[in-house]
Amino acid sequence: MKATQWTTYRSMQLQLGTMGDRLHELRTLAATGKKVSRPSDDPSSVRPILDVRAQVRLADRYLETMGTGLDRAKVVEGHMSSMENALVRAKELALSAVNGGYDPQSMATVADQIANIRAQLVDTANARFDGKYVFAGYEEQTKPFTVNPTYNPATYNPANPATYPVLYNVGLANSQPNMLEISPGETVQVGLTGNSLFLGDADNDGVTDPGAYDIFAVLTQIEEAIRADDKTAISAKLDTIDGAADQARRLRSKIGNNAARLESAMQQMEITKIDLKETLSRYEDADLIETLTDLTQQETAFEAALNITAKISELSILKFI
Amino acid sequence: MPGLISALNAGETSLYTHQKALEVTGNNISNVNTPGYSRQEAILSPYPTLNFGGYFIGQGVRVADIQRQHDSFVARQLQEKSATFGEQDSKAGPLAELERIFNIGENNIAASIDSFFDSWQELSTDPSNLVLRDQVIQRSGLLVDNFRTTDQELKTIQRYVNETLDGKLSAINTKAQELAALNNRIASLETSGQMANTQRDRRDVLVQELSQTLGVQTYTDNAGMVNVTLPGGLPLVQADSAMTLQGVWSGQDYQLKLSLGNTSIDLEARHLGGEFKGLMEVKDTLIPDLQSRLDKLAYTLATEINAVHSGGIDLNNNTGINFFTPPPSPGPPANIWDGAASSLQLAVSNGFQIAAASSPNAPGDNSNVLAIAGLASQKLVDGATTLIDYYSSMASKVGLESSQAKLVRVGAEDALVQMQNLRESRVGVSLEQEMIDLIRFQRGFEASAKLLSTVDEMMETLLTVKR
Repeated sequence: MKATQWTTYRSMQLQLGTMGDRLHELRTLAATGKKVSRPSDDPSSVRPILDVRAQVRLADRYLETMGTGLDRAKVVEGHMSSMENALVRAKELALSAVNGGYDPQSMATVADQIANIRAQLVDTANARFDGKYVFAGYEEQTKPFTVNPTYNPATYNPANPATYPVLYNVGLANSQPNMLEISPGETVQVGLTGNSLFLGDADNDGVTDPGAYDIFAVLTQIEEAIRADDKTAISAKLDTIDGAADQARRLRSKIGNNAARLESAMQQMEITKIDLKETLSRYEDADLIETLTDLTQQETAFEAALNITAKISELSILKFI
Repeated sequence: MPGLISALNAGETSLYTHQKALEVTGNNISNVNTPGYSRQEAILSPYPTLNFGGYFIGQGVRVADIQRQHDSFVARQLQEKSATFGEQDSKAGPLAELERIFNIGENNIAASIDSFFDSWQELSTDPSNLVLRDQVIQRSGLLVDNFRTTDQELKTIQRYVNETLDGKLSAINTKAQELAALNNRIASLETSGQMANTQRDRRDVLVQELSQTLGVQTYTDNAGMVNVTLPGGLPLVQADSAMTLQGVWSGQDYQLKLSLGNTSIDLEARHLGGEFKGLMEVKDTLIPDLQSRLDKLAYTLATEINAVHSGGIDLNNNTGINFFTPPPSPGPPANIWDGAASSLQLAVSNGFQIAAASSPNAPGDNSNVLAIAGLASQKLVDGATTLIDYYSSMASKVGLESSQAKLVRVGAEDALVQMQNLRESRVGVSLEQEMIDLIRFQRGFEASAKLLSTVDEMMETLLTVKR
């Protein structure tokens, strides 16, 4: 065996090439901080990286959705709290009408106040948020409640919606609460439909459910009884105000619960997001300390190789003959 | 006197011979950096001895032959290693391009699919919002662009590979012809008893170059001619005649043919080796596979989204609207998804046409949007993988091919260099060796001259005996 000039230089060239390549790789690694920047760096982690990255994006989206949901729930809750206050005020007025010994003039004033409360509730029921009717279900551009101009106490029939003092204008098929997706396949209700809240029609069949209350009808009938100065009728109707207030309270607590659920789901999602980012980092991030140590080592080795290459020509038989 | 004359003669032959040997050494030194050069050696042998008064006396020295050092094992190994190296090395370029297309950064089809579904998810929070609806249209437009660009880029790589193949053809044909001509020249030189050393060196270089590009195999016939065949057994050079490789373009497609006089044979990857095999594999196997998968991804996306979307109702109360233009769906023998990526197109043009609702007159209804957004996590492709996972499998396939090619390439280069070094150690020119030879022959020359001057002095002495 002999080592010719070609042998030596070819080997050095290959060595320097390989080392240069490795050095370049390590520099890229250190500069990007990613150990997987091309599919060939680690073909088996391509799928988890893309998967987890999609999940992180989705988690961000769900967090934003839940934020929107909380805003909506707060708006609904705000309207319901004013509605509850109105019903409490109506109860006080009705009680004072029974026990106050008012003259007919004062009774008419109390009746007017009840009518005002009812009008205020109609406004609440037609409340808008972000340009959309809050209690109109899917038909967010339809004004959900209008006062029935042909209302007649004599022909009022709970089984016929057309005789109600306040009419509900949303198609029953579209009278659906607002649902938001907060995690894959899991939706949460952040709104209420006007008919379930105000008309007691939770089963969406167009008429007030048994045991539930058409709040507008309750207030209208109380108003009528006070205006007629019929204390027996007023007393008989007092319970219905309580029932109506209960109906509102029940639904309010439902929305409140959902809001609480959203808040805890948000915290949970934040934790999930951190976990996901950790997973992602494990797959694609380089260990910087290791990389920098390797880099220093490789640079030293490269320098040594360059040194040797430069010295090859110094050693020649030509110097000795 | 006859003895002195013959001594003079011996000295003369020695002088010539050492001069010749020095010339050979000089030639070796000159060619120290010539690729493929094999060290030559002057073979010295004594002149036949003469019977002189019962003694056999030598008559000097001559150069019997100038031999070229050769090691056929090493030559054959070099051929093989060159073929492996060529095959892997040629893949590096197109594979790097493919890796750029099927990257795992923030600018690939997976990211566009993500942001496409993200826009639906966002729309679900406020389905009547026209800004969010327009966002869905815009992101869908980007997704469509991404599919089309990727499809186009795959075709570009294919064309680039075809052009590379085409560009190499003329050099290959020239080499094959030169090899055939060398076969002829070597045979005719060597039948007349001469050694065609330079021609043999050149022929070895050509064979090695052809191995790297085509992975050729060789065998030597009785006349010393090298026959070159392609790995599949088709002949490239037979004795002193060379076949021609031809490329025929038909549109974007490119077919390699081997012309055998009157007939021509279509060449596939299995007929070839070396760089051509590597390139043909990328062009004919890997890229069509990726293309087909891309089409399938586009087809699945378009049909599944359309199926859900057309079941919904848009802001104008229309139903049965396709979101994407239905893909062409060719019949057998083509796959139903063929051409889906390049023809992917949005069918809706404005936000009003997005069917977000399930019932009419319900702008706030997000149920159909949620159904579409939910497709992101469903196993739509063959009922086994999600859209993103399907893309991942494409990217990992490219990654696997590429990392494997890199690995084998490094190994092949290593082996090739080892083999080249082995060749050097057997038949290469070592300056140390030549320098020592130089000294050796110089000394021989000097000694011969000394012999001549000594004989001359002796003759002088003889001639001064009588004055």
